[in-house]
Amino acid sequence: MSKLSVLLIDDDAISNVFNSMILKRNYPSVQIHATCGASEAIDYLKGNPLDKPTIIFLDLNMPVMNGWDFMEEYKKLNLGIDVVLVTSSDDIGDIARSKDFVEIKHYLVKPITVKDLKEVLA
Amino acid sequence: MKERIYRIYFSIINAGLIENTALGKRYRLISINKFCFFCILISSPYLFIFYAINSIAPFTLIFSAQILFAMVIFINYKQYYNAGRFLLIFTTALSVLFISLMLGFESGFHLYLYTAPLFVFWLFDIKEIKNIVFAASVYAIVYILVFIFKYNTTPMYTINFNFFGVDLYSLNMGLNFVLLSLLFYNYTNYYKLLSVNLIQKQKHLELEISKRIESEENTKKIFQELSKSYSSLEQFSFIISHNIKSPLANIKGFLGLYDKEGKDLEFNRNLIEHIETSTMNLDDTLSDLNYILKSQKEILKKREEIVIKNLINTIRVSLSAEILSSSVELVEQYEEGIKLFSIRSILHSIFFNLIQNAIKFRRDGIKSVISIFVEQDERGTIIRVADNGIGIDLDKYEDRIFNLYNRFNTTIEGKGIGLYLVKNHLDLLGGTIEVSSKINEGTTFSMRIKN
Repeated sequence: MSKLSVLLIDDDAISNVFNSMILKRNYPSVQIHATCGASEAIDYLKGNPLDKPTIIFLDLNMPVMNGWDFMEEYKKLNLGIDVVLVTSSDDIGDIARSKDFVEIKHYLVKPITVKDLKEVLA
Repeated sequence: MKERIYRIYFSIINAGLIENTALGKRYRLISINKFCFFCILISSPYLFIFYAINSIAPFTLIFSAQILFAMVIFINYKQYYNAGRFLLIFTTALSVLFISLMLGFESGFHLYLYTAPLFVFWLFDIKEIKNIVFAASVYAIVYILVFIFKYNTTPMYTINFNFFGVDLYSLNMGLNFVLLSLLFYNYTNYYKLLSVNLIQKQKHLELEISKRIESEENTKKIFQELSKSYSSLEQFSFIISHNIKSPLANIKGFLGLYDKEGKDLEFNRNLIEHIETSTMNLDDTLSDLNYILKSQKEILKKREEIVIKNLINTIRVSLSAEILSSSVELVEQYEEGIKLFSIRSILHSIFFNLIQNAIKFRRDGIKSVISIFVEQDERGTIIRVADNGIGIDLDKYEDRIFNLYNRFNTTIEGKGIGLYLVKNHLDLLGGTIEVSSKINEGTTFSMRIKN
């Protein structure tokens, strides 16, 4: 596998910590960039076209710019990076809405497990 | 039997009437039918008399007139209202002509017959000029013919009006007069009754309609209020569950990572710290929830007279540190003694949150001014809290501005509860709130509280 680089987007700092921990435990060579807001993540993606993340973990419920707002902006960037939703919501409406975005490959309910990671990063 | 006769009578009288026949037409149709029916009835005894004395010509005349009257009713029944009316005109005109011819022109009966043209005004509305002209010309032709005959012919037939010693002519006049007055009386009464009935019905209907509209509006209002409170409840539970779920998910996740063999002590210590933080977050959410639920109960508290000036002064004191450190100016634009009969804690919370927000989201580099405007009219109280702060991008956030845990600025500390509470409190008081804002100019919250 080529170098794994993950962009974490979650307003809850603890969630980011947990996600980094579980990633590092199972994939020691992983590169992680954690952002605590969608607009920060957009800025990051715009500014680093060379060091592209290979996958994005996105939370839905965030202040100012929520996960859906992020997806609208992200679509315009046309980066072709897969997005994984990592959210505490198992709402049917949210799951259905996630199907509208081809970029969203998986829908994970917090907390993510080793099994989830194996499936997503396979 | 009696009932059956009545029923037949009314079905004849009402021939041609349908449910939505207009009032004027209804009145005329019934009159025409009644007139024809009584004409047939009145003339029937004469039919027998003339048959008995073997006078074929008047017998035929009366019989054909009866058929014509019956035809008028039948035509009405078939819904040809105008045709019926014209047939009646023709019938009366022809009768005048024939009776004149038969009885001789000198007979006093003429005077009686010459009243026939009055029919024109009875059968047509003054607005139906074309019909009136036509009907009147029919009579005009008939009378011209009568006058032509009068000077050129002799009576075809003379009747002996003495019948077993009774003067039939006077009897006829008397009987006709009585019947016609009965008819007129009956028919004015009927019309009166009809109109009274109609007016009553109309009033009743109007009342019913207004009642229905009112109840419909009420139902709509209740439904709107219910669906509003339902959606806000739904949102509330959704947000609370999200905010309970996420720290719980974190705790669950961290516990799953815990190194049970205890080899990596540093890692485990780290985990415990994170679990602690997540637990605190959970606790925060629960106390927020508790606070919000408790504030809902404030509505049960007693209403009292609240002097706005005093209320703002208490808020000034409790926010004095922020006001001083940010050198914000609080401008109070209302009459000194303005009072509100409301719940103190709720009103306090509304002003407190709005003023606190205005201080928090002030703009650097300018003198911050927060103005509080209160005005009362007969409908209630208007309150405005305006600042010259950083403003809110309403194009983006208008529909989320009063939502719980929604924040539109991450650089300034906050939880996203203040405006939610303000909106909630206004809902409790039966008030409304609107916001207008421009980025880098300021924000104004306008509220209206009913008396």
